[in-house]
Amino acid sequence: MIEIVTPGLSTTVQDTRERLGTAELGVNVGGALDRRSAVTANLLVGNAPEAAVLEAAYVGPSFVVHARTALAVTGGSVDVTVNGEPREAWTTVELRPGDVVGLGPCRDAPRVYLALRGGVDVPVVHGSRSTNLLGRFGGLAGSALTKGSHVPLGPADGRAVAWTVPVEHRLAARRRDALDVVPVEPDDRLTQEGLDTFFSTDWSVTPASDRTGVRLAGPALSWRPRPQQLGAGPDLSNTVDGGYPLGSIHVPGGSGPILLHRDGPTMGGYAVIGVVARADLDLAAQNMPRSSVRFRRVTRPEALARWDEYRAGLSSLPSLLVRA
Amino acid sequence: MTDIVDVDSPLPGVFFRRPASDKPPFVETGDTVEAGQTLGLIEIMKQFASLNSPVAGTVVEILVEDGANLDPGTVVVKVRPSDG
Repeated sequence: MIEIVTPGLSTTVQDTRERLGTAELGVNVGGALDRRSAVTANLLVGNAPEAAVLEAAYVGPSFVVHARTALAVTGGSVDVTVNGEPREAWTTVELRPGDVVGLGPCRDAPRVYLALRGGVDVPVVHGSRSTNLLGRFGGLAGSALTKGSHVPLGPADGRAVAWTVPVEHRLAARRRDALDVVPVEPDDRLTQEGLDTFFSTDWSVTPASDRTGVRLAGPALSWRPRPQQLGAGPDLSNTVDGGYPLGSIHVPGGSGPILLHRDGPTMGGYAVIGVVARADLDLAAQNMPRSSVRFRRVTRPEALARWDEYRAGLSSLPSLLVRA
Repeated sequence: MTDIVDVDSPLPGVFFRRPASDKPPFVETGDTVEAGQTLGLIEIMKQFASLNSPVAGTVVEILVEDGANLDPGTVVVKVRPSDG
């Protein structure tokens, strides 16, 4: 068990299991936004890839250790200290009862992951241990951690093997120039100019971005005129309510695209203009406010090929770890 | 004389000098502040975090305008610590 001293801005229990088949209940897939960083953290402490970790946004937590365990911190660059002494991120750190662990502010990406040996041991709800903040279930009582929270850890075999991840396999080395997007078919909602603008703009990430979605600022997009559909809102960006796939992009009112991430709504009345390739969802969640994001138009087969590559990359992660 | 302390923001976000648009600013240049006193708010992920003075002293300069964007490490306020 660890006991939270300072919780950070919003630190939640997340895993990578996903809640599948629950969209009809309005329950999104949830889970670690940057899956690869979460899985990497688990492997560094000898956990199963899908063990529950802590995801911290912008500022990491500090905590007291109550039973022997091990920690690995991945995701954005952050200073890690144990009893005031600096320790390496992306590396196994052995912890003893009484140790005080502190994380600083995130420098180059909004989210850091903390895996603890044994995994965070909270009940599985709808197939996952992830915190659903809006639904107030999963994780630790459905909430972000607070001062004094006791975070229970699962049993571990106690093997003390120290691993590290070479720099070329850390988040900073995975950055891409653009996020791949498959436009919806038929792509008849935006004008050709609107689509061209969408794919040629350097969009700016806004500070309102969160686990629900990545909110972007940039030019307005032009829509093809069309009569209001029965049951749809009056704006050209509206449509008859429908499902929102994970990674959907919609543009309420025609400006400020929103990329819906893992805690996003499962349905709504804004037209989806495209869907971000699943392989790029990790990186979509790791852009700091005011950094720029570009979208690259790809076909569905191209997006699926990238997903195969992504999954192969996750499978090969254990072979990328080296002894620390 | 004690060195002036740069109070920087650990967070990105939008800086607000007042608790609400119809309220006076938390601090003005020349004000005396206690250690831990709120100097402003930072809005991030649709929630507000307070930026506090790490020392007791006098506000000598406010470098960021109300409603302006911050990056981590942006110096927001300069405070001259009181002696002793």
